[in-house]
Amino acid sequence: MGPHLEPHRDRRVAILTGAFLLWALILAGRLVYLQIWRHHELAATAREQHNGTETIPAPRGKILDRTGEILALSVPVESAFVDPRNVDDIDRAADLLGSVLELDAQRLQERLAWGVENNKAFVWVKRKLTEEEASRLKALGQDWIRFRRESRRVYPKGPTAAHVVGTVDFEENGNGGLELSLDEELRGKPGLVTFLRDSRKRGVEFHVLVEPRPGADIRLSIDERIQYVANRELEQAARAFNCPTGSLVVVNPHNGEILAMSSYPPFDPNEPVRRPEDLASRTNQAISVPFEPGSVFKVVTLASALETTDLKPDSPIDCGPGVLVLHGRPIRDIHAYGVLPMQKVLAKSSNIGTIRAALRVGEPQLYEYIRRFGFGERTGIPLPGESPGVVHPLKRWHRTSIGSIAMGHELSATTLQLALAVSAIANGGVLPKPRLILGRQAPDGAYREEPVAAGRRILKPETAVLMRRMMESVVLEGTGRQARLAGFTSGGKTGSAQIPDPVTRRYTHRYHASFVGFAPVQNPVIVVAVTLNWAPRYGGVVAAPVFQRVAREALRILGAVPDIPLEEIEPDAPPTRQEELADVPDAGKQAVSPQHELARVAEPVLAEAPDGPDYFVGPRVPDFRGKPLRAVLAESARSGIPVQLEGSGLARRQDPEPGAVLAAGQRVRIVFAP
Amino acid sequence: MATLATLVDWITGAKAAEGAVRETAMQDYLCRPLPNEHLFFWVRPIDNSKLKAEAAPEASRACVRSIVACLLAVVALVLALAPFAYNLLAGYQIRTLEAELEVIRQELALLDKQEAELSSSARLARLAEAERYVDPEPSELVPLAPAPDGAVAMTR
Repeated sequence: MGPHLEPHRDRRVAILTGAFLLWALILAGRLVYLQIWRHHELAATAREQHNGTETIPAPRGKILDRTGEILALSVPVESAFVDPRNVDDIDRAADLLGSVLELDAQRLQERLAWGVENNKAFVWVKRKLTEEEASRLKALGQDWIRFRRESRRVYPKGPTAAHVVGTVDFEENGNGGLELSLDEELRGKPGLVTFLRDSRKRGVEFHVLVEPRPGADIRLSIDERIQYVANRELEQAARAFNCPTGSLVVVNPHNGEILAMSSYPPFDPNEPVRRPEDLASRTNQAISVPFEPGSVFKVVTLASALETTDLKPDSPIDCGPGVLVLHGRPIRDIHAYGVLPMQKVLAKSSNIGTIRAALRVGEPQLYEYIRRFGFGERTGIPLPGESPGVVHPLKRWHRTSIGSIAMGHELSATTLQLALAVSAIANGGVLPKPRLILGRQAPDGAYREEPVAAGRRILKPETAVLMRRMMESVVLEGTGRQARLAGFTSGGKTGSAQIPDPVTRRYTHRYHASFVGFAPVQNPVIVVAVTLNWAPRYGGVVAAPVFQRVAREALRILGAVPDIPLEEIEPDAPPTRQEELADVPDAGKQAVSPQHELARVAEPVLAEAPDGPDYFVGPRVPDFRGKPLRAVLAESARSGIPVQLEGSGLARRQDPEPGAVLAAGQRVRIVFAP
Repeated sequence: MATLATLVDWITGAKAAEGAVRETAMQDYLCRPLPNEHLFFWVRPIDNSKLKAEAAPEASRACVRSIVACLLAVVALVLALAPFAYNLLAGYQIRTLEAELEVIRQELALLDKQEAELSSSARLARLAEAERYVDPEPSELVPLAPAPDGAVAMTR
């Protein structure tokens, strides 16, 4: 290499080095620009591309009946959407989708065109498809039709318990019944998960930001079988007597558990509201629509008389010539009963006898007892739209109000209030709190039982027993004979409150026909309250047969033991026209002689959860062992617990054991030995 | 033509040398030189047959150390990367299982719905009607309870 070459080489090497330096500088500048200048923006883009965030759905909880039958649950359904940008021919696509899904093709075309114009990648076609629609759509095989999983609330039992369970809107937010009042619990809370995803957008690494909290399953006190019978019988009666509305409640009197709550007209919660009339059928008549109870309320009046006066069931009450003029207002019975024992006043539903008893109670104490029975206040059942009914304060009573109120007028009550009031009589004097929710099943499977709310004592146990016997006479020989049950004793009271016409301000010949009763008389298992509004006939004819059929089925389902021999069953005898009229205030009545000897007190166990799967709580069995026959009989008479005696000497064995809960109709078998 | 040879020529200045030689040759009527003829490789044969290898235990140990170090480095790298690889695979597996679980849940919900519909009292009543089942008469019922005979506390 000659020396003349050196300058050329040095220059070129310098140029090359400079070029490399420039290239390196450009790279470094670019790096600075990307890594520092646009760091945040690009980092965010990278995060967006690599990291995904998804909502973890929290499925809405189920609603179950007391036996675990599902009344409401959410099931997956598919919704269809399209990316309009991928659709070649929008008009054709709209026609196709419209014909398959029975949609308006013109509107669909407009929406798709709007999506194209606005560069939208997502346009709903139809949400929550039926299975048939989804399969038809998939059969088209068009890749531009996409599906997304959503959830739909279904009610597999249809109208059964629909008024209690309620409904949800399209987005599964509760808008009626328990679906509304327990919406927060049922809905749960969706979670949030972030994940790293690969180039195929598959998640590879997860980090849960918010843990999902699925909705709790709610177990109700409702028994779907009893509820079905209640719905069926109420509907049949309402149709037969052309009643526009009606309601029925079945309660366990010992702990206030609502076994059935039915409302007429029925509705199917699976069907959407299409007409304004559909909304009316969704009203829960049993708790939301108070009415004048009529003669059913005489139970309250006479119970307060037994509590606060020296009146006894056999105390004579002068019902006079069939007319009582109270501060210038004549009040009539259908017949001149003359002197009736108080028990017959209830059995024959004598207005005058009831008013005379109320006058002895006095306005303040009658008012106090009305409030004690829970009228004029909400029962606290966890359902929306409960009405407290109307009970005017004492200062707003007129001079003749005591007469009207004693007969169940000038006040209003719901069917549930009536059922609970009679429950207090059935259970020995404690007004129970309604119990609709038995417990909650957490998503982890843990079952949390809802505690039984303690009721409040409103009557002495003795009074409750006397009232039960008086109400039994209503069924045996009074206006409620159609409520007699095969194999079971029963008690109750009919009511037929005339409905005033607001236009003419006169009473129509339509009635709130009602019957509230219980069975068996000793240690009752159920209380059933039936009301049919705008009935053309009376409670004894319209409502009592409904009670009879519902109570018969309910007792069978609950496994209650018959407490009267089957041979004693007599065919139902419809009440005479005169007996029907006896229910109607200001109508006449006739007397029937008393029969029943009154029993003593059976003290039930209240405010205590039943053991195991028992449906009801009865009185606790006392310890008879070691006692002589006389002491056993005295204890039996005092507690009202029936006994079956065998042998002689001292009580050696007993079945059930002391402390056990006595089922309805069950007797304590006691074996005596020397 | 931008070949590697021309690039080397350009960098080392060989082209310029080639031009100068060509000019001189033409003047001297000399043969045209070959490109880069002034560069040559000289190979000197070396006879190592009489050489004797000298024992070098240090070199052997160094070699073994290097190999072990490399292996350890590889193992460490594998161990360091293994959790990530496991995470990746587990992530795919979790995703698959979650998808399966969701499908099972949905199927279970549908089955629950069908079961509830099939066991509803309304349907059973319809079936009973279709099969002409009738409720037993009260006299046909046999209560599974002690007979009421002997009850003394009853008021009836």
